[in-house]
Amino acid sequence: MSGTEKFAIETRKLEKYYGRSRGIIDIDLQVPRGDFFGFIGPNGAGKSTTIRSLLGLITPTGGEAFILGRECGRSRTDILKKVGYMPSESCFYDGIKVKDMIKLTAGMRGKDCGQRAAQLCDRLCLDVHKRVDELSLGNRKKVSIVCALQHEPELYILDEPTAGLDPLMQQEFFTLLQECNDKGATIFLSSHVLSEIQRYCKNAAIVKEGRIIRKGSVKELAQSNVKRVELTTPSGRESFLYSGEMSKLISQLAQKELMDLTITEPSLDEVVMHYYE
Amino acid sequence: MTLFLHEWKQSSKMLLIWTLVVAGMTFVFMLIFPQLAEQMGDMANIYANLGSFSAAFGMDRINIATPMGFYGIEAGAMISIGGGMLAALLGGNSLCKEEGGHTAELLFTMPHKRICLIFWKALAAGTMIIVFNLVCTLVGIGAFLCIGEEVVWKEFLLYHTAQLFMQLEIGMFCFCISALLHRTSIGVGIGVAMTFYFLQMFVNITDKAAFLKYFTPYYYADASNIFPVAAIEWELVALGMVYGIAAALTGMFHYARKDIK
Repeated sequence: MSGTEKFAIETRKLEKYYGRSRGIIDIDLQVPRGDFFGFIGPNGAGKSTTIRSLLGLITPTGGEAFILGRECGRSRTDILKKVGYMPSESCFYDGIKVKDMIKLTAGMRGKDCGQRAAQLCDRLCLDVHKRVDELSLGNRKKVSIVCALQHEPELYILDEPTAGLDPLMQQEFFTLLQECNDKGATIFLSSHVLSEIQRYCKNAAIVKEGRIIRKGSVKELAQSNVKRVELTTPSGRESFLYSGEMSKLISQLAQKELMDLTITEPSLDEVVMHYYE
Repeated sequence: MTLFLHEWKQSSKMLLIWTLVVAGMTFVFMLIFPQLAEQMGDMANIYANLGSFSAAFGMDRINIATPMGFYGIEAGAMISIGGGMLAALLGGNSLCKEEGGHTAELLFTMPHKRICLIFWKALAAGTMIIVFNLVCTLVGIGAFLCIGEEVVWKEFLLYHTAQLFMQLEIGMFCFCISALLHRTSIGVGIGVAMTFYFLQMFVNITDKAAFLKYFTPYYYADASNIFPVAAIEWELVALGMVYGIAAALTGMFHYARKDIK
């Protein structure tokens, strides 16, 4: 297996500019096959632009991208056969029924996914006889989930999939993803909900202003050199995140009249927030 | 093929309504013809001698008091304007509705070449225009049979053939516009269809605007240009098809490469 084939997703210096405005810059990603990968960033950071470049919806202005060992763009059609994509917006055709929408996407893939689709609808408590435009945002998300998962792809690319889903459904959704992952599928999950990345993902990358600023295992990212410092002095309590040389911190703290001091590992939320400050 | 059927399902209601309205109105116009014909003896001469007004609608070249003349002027206006608008809607809505309705991300991440998906969409719009014309032609024949008048087959079939080409040309132009714009292009499409219609009126009114016949499909599809000579200016049809196909191909190849928003 060549280097590229080891990865479900690999990008090298992927770049997209919209005229003069920045989309993504020098995105280097390696998502191993079978990984549960989190792509973290706030709105406008470049998560969707990266995904859209991978899927051929937009043409990158520079760099290279490979999915399942094949070059994006050139092998786009073959790649898409093995990919289940869930866009951030769950929009469907006017007046179409849930069952027809699910059947349409299966038909477009030339597959009979009836059994798996029924199973998914059942687990997600989705009424297939309703018209899609009558559904709430959460229920439209469920239709999106079924459309993306029903053909049991090798790679799932999910762009902010849980927005609008209630906590129970979020849990069921992640259970479904975990099952797919256990069977060997790769999950690429873009989200700004850090708790779900921390809970479910093995590896993650943090994107800021179009660039990847950190990547690694979720554990490593959470255990970065950023520390949560909480101190109590006669003038009150103070709490802040610190990244830098510990000796400098200690010498600065030594100048204060400390009554209490705790230095702890911050949560992933705090670490990521620190990068955006 | 799945997309082709889906497009048909999506537009079937619109197609049905437009077909019912246009074909139904054509039928009703023809049903009232016998009654009007009795009262129209002298009126026909008046209509034919209203100067530019008569020329604009072709009434100086065909006799509105005859069943074919009435069909060409009254029912024909309905078919050409209604058909042109329907073609503009079908072509103009075809691609941009995906981006406007945010369904493009779903559709264009299906495992098919984008050009294939565009082709099926164009084919669906084209076949809908053909079906519309087929129904209008059959309803026209039915109307003649109902009022007991004879269809002058050559002129009648040439007229409907020209109408089909005209609508296909408008549809292809609007398909190109649909590919170039990100949001809805229906308004632009209908504007294009109406512009073509008015250009043909200018050609009819003044010789100075004769060159416009090379740019508007309404000219070669106008009953007043077909019925008197029982012929279509095929070179204009061919030119129109060249324009239309060039526009449609430009749209297709542009859309196949463009960034989906």
